[in-house]
Amino acid sequence: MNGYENIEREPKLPYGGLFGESNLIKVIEQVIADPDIEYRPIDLEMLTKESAPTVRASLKALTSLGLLEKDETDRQHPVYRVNIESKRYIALTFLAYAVLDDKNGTDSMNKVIADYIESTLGEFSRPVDGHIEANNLELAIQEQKLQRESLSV
Amino acid sequence: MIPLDPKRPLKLEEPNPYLAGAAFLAWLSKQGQEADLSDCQDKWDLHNRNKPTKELENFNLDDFIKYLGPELIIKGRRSYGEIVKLTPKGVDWAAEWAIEYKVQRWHHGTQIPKKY
Repeated sequence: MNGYENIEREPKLPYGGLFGESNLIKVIEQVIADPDIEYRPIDLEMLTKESAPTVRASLKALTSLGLLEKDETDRQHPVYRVNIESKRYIALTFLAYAVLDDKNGTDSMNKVIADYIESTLGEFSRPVDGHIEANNLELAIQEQKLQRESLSV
Repeated sequence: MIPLDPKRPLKLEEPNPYLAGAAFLAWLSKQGQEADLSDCQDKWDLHNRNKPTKELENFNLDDFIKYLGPELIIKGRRSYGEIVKLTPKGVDWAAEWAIEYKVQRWHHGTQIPKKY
């Protein structure tokens, strides 16, 4: 069966309702979910179903907080992109998966964290069950520590 | 560096969503597992445009949903309209394929911001 199915009646809230449902958190959820995109304000008005002034206020706040970067190359049509150097971007990505896991009893956040560690801290073995093997992690941390020490000598 | 452990290959469960599909599913996951059908259609088109994938040529969103099957993804209806939703099994499955295709933004050199 691939037709329509009954969906439970609970409303869909950004991050499971953890931070309420202000436009600010709706914008955060949208941009974190797809950080590859340059967003025009009108894109986020459509995605969050909010008015232009409300979205403008959220964009201004998120830019001043450093989560978004504003590109005013075209002053008439500024675009916004996620500051992927921000640790909050990484943490919010993990949080998005954590919300799913708490709701469904799934294990997606651990898989994504393992991917992050593998791609940013070194060549780990890819875990089958989403958990980094403790010995590998300790070894990698030790190795990085030694590398840092040798660089500082 | 720690060598890759050949004894621990990742066994990925079929079906393969391919690159554009994995990127779309990662978005749907981080979006809270579900989204309005119209937003999904926009995102599906966007990811297919930005990450052209030979295997998904001529696949529209409905084709993709049918290809994956209801164990992983379903179309449903809420009071405000139609939605697309990943099942719990689909959440874990999609996370594995997102890793396989390196669609998360911390992988180097794969992403250039695209216009909406």
